[in-house]
Order: sequence, then structure tokens, then C-alpha cells
Amino acid sequence: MRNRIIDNLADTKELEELEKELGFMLDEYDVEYPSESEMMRTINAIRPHVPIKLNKRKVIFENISSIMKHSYQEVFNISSLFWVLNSLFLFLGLVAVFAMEQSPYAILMLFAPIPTITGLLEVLKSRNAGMAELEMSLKFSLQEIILSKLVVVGGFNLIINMIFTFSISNFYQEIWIWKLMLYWITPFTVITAVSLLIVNRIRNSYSITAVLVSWIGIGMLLNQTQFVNKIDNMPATIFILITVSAAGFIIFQMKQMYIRGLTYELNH
Amino acid sequence: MPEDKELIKEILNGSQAAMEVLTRKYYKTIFSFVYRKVGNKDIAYELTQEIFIKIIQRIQSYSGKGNFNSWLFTIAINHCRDYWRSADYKRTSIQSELPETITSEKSSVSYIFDRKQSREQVKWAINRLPDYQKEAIILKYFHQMKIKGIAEVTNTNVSTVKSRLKQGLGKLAKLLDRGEEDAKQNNR
Repeated sequence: MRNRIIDNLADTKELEELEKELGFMLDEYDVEYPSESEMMRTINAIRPHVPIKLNKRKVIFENISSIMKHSYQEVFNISSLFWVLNSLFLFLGLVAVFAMEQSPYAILMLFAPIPTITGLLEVLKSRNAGMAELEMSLKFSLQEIILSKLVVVGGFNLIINMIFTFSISNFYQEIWIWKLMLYWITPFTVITAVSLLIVNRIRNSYSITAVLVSWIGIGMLLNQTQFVNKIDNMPATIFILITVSAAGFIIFQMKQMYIRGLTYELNH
Repeated sequence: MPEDKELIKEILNGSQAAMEVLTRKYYKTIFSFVYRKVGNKDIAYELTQEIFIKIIQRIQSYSGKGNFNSWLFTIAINHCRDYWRSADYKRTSIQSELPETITSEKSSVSYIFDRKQSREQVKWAINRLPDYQKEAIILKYFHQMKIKGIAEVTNTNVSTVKSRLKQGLGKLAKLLDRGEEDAKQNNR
């Protein structure tokens, strides 16, 4: 027993000495790693081997709850510029209605999608820094991070529009609340659908500027009485039809994004 | 690690995103192990891909009790051992041996040292070690695995690992010494 312990100690000492002697030379043997696209090719080759869970409802529920949990964390990661800018828009909207006596319908229609457009900047920022975030957390994939940010941006937009709607309807008794809601929900869903398309397909952030400029152009059109009258005369069913189509497109895009995932090549 | 367990749970639920995160998390570790074992980037890339496919196919068999890292290495080691026995390896090894039949081993070593490529020197020396010794050295010195851990993933006992390390390092020291001497002689 004693001899075995002595032998063991001698072995360990010998190993340590050899390690000291060779350690610095072994350090020279570095590795040439595959590129990002090669790694992505491996990931795509693995995809068909991921087990398929039969209980689809449970999977959908778990995926949604995972995104919701992450969205809660993302609220604290979104830059303060986003919150300040959108609070300013809300304030400007309220000033336009109450102090400048502009049409509440037209103002709400114009301001409704702005938080989503500015939120896109946040989403694209996370797409550019996606890998770093992913490596830091090692818990969420890039598409989950982007979807979570979109949920925060969309949720915040909804809240801000609700505040706007109820503030106006409290002060103007003659305002028809359902019409007011229809006027903001329509552009909100359409712009959100366009935004998702941009995040998924178009690769540079100039596209946001393009959306913002286009929307301001539409805003100018809105100020022309003729155009407002035309919109006013449009039957509610058309608004509802546009909203439902845009909402369907949003759900389809989000589903695609989650299943397929954004390719990492977009970040490089 | 709770993160790994969560990811495995999600993969078992069919999450592609969780698979992607898990693969990215361990890709470099497994690739570097395979690369140092086979000494060729293209073969290491192919083998790493096959290893990850195996990992995902067998993810249900991971009990969650042991270290996930060790489980991964067990699969990687067995896969590399299968590769050594395969026809693919025999074919590529014949091809890679061809230049050595043209130039002598000594002159090839001298060439390496002439170019002062210490990286190539270590790579060359490691590739001349028997498979089991090479495996133990890579796991110990490049993956900072403890002797007990190496014994676990290579399905052997502690004293065998120690003996493999001792013999392997001894041979490595001789090979590297010989290389340096050749380089000195060539420089004269």
C-alpha cells in the first residue's frame, strides 16, 4: 500500500516535470476554426435531426411563454432614447389635439405607428450586436432576442395608443371611440407588418428612414381635407379587412422567423 | 449547468433555436479537440458535423446526472475512434503518407524547423503519437481535463491515463528534441 502511494507520487511528479518542460511548446498548437458560414452549414445539417415533439400546442405555448419571459428582460435593455422619443411623440400628439385643435382621428392615425418605426432601430441594433448578446447569454437564439424586442416595441405602441385614445375620448364627448380605435389600429398593424418584412428581408438600417419618410409623406396627405374626407367616407369593413390582412401577415412572419430563424450571415 | 439542462429540455420539445444555441456553445470546444486529433481542418470540420448530428440524435439518452461536457467528449472520442478504423481514414492516411515516401522523415522535420514553424512542429510531433496517448494529452493540456475526467470519457482507469500521459509526453519530448537537433544541424 505504502509502495503504491510512493509510486503514485513519483508518477505525478514526473508528469508535472514533463508538463513544465513541454507546456510552452504545446501552447503553440492553436486551432484554425471554421468560418461563421461553415458553422451555419453544420447547424443547418443538424436541423432535420432535432426531435419532433408531438404535442404541438404545448410547444407553441412554451415558445410563447419563453418569448414573453425574455421580453420582460428586454424592457430593461432597450435604450432610453426609445422611451424618451416616444413619450415626446405622445406629448406632441396630445398638444396637437388639445392646443392646436387638430382632428384627433388624423393625429392618432399619423402618430400610431411611429413607436414601431423608432422601435425598429432598436431591433436592427440588436441584429447587428446579436452575436455578442447571444454569446453573453448563451440561452436565447438571435431570432428569440429579435422577437422579444418586437414584442416589447409592439406592446409599448399598443399602450401608448390606448393612453392617447382614452385621454382624447375623456375630453371630447362627441368622439366616437370605436372609430378612433379603428383609425389607429389600421395603420399600426400595416406598419408593423411592413416593419417585420424589413427586419426579415432588407439588410440595412436606411430602410427605416425610408419608412419614416414615407409615413411623414402620408401624414402630409392626411392634413389635406380632401384626403381626410375620402378616408372618412371609407366603410369600416375596409379598415377591418386591411387590419385583419395585416395581422395575418404579422403572425405568418413571426412564425416563419421563429421556425426558420434569421440567418447569421445577415450580421456579417 | 442549469443552462444546458434547459436547452436539452427545449431540444427534446423540438426547439430548433435551442439546438442552435447548444451547438454554438460547444462547437469550438469539440472542433478544437477533433482538429488536434486528426490534424486536418477539412476532416475535422466533417467529423465535428457528424459528432453534433450524433449528439442531437442521442440527446434523449443523456440522463442529466453526469457532466454534459463529459458526455459530449465521450461521443466525440468514440466517433474519432470509429473514424480511425474507417475506410475513409485509411484512404486519406495513404494519401498523406505519399510525400513522406519521397522525402525522408528527417529532412521533412528539418524543413519544418528551418521555417521555424513551432506550431507545425508540435502538430507533427503530436500526430506521431499513438492514438490513446494523443487523446489523453489533448484532453489534459488543451481542454484542462482532470485525469479522473479523462479516465471517465475514455472509458478507462486513472492509472492507465497516467501511464498514457507519461509515455506520450516522454515521446513528445524526444520527438521535439530530435526536431530541434535536426534544425540546429541544418543551420550549421
